[in-house]
Amino acid sequence: MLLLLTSVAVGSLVGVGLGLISGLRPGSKLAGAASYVSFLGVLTPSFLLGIIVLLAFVRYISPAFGVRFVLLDPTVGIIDPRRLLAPALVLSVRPMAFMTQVTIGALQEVIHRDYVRTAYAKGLRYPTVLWRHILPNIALPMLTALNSSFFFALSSIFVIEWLFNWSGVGFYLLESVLARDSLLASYLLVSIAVTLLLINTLIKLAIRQIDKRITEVDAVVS
Amino acid sequence: MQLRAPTPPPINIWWMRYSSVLIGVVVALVVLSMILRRWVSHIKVSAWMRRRALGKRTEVKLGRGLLERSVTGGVRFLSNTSLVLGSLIILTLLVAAFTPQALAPYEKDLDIGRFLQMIEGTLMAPPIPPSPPYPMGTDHQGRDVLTQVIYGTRLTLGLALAATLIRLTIGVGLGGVAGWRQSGVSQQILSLSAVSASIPSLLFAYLFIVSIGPQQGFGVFLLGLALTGWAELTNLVNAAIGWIKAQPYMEGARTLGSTPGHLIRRHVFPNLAPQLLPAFALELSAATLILAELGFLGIVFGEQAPSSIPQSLRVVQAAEWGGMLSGSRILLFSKPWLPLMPAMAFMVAILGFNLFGIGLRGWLDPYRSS
Repeated sequence: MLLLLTSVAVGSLVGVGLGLISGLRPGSKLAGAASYVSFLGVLTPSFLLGIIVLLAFVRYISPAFGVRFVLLDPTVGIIDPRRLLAPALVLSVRPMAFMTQVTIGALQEVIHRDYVRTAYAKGLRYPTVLWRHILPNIALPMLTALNSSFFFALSSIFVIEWLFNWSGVGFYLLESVLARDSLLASYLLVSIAVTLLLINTLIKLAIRQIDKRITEVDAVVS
Repeated sequence: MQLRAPTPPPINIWWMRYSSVLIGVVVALVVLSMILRRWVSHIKVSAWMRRRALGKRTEVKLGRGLLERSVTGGVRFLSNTSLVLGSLIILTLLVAAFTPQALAPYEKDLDIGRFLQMIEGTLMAPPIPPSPPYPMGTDHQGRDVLTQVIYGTRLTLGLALAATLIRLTIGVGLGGVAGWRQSGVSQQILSLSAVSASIPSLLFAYLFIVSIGPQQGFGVFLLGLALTGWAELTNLVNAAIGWIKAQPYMEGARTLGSTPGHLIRRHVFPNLAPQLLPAFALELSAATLILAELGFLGIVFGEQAPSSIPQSLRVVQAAEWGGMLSGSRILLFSKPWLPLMPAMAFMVAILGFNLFGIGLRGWLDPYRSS
C-alpha cells in the first residue's frame, strides 16, 4: 500500500509537471517528445519495465553509488529508500504517462477558451492567468485521471511486488491464492477494495469541492 | 587423440541474410510516411489533393479512375505512420503464426544446443547466451529461444484473440441491448458493467485460473481472460448507439417505415463499426498484456507437471511465450536473455496492436481524430 501511494504520488506529480510543460507549448520539440514517451509508457508491460529496471539497479546503479545489495532483501525495513526507489519507479511510469496524456489533452481544450484570452486581454500576467484561470479548469479531468491512475497502479502492483520480492498486499494475495488460503485471500481482497473505495470517495469529495455544480459525481468518475 | 567439440549446426534463417534489406525497407516506409504526413497536413498541397488525402468527401464524383483511387488511398495509408508500423508488426506476427517453419531457424523443440559446443572460440554448455548461431540464446534444454518464440506466436496470439472475441461478443451484445432500448434493463446492464470495470482483470484471471486449475486447458484460460474487461466495450457501444439514435438519418429512416432489423443493419452497424474496430485492436493488446503477466507469475497454458516442482524445472509442453516467461524470475541475473526475449516479443506484439488500433482510428474516422 505504501508502494502504491508513493508511486501514484510520484507518477502524478511528474506526469502533471510534464504535461503542463509540454501542453503549454504545443508544437515544441519537448511536447512532441513527451507525447511519444507517454504513449510508450502507457503500453509498456510493467513486468518488462520491472525486469529492465531491476537489472539496471542491481548491475549498474547500486554498485555505482556503493549501495549494498538490499533491493530484494525482505529483512530490510520497508521505508528504506534503497528498497523503495526501484519498484516505486517502475509502478509510477504508467500513472505518469497517463497523467501526462490527460494533462496535455485538457490543456489543449482550455488554453484556447475565451476566458483565457480575455484574461490575457485584461493585461494579466502569465503566472496569474495560469494559476487563476487555467489550472482550476483542468483540475476536474486531472482528478478523474488520478482515480484511473490508482486503478492502473493497482492492476500491476501484484506483478511488481512479486518481482521485487516486496511483502505487500499483492504479494501475499498471490501466495495465499496459490496456497488455497481462502480466508487470507478474501481478507486481502476486502482490504484492497476498501482502500480503493476510500480513495475513490476522497476524489469524489474533492471534485464536489472544486465544482459545486456537479451533483451526479458518478457520471463524471467511472 | 584429440577431442574436438562439435561446432553448432548450420542455420537457415533466410531473412537474417536479408535483414539489412528488411530493416532498410521498414525504415524507408516509416520515413516516407512521416514525410507524407507532414506534406499532407502542413505544406500547401493543392486543395484537391489534400481533401482526397485526408479523406474529406466534400464532393461526390462518380466514376473515379482506378489509378486516382489507388493513389489517394495509398497516400492516405502511407501518411498514417502508426497504421503503417502497426500493420507491418501485425503482418510479421501473422506470418509467424501461420507458417512458423518459414521463419524459424531450427525445428520445433529440437534440443540442438544440448551438447558442449564451440561458439566463437569458447566452449559452451546449454544455456548459451545470444550468439551468432543462436540469435536469442538457448534455454536449459538446449532449445533455440528464437525458434520457440516464433513457434509460440500461434498459441499465444490465438489465445488472446479468442479471449478478445468473447469479450467483444459480451461487450457489444450488452452494450447494444443497453443502447438500443433505453429502459430499466439498460440501467442494470450499465451498473453490471461498472462492477466489471472495477475488477482488475489480471487479478480476476489469476484467481479464476488458479482456483480451477491451469491444467484444465484452453477453456479456463479463455474464460479467465474474457469474463472481465468487456466493460469498456459495453460503455463505448452504449454511448455510440445513443449518439446514432439521435441522428437525423435515423429519424428519417424510421419515418419512412424501416423495421428495427433494417435500421440496425443499414444505419446503426455501419456507423458503429469504425469505432468498434480500433477498440477491438486495443482490447487485443490488453488481453495479450494480461496473458504476459500471467505467464510471468507462473500461470501457464499447457503445463503438465504438478506445481510442487520448482518453476524453473517445470516442463511446459505447449510452445507459448507465457510459458517461456514463467519461472524465469530467478534466472534474471544469471541468464537475463531467458526472461527478456519472450518479454520483448510480448512488448512488440502489444505495441503493434496499439499502433494498429490508433492508426485505424485515424484512418476510419479522420474528422474525430483531428
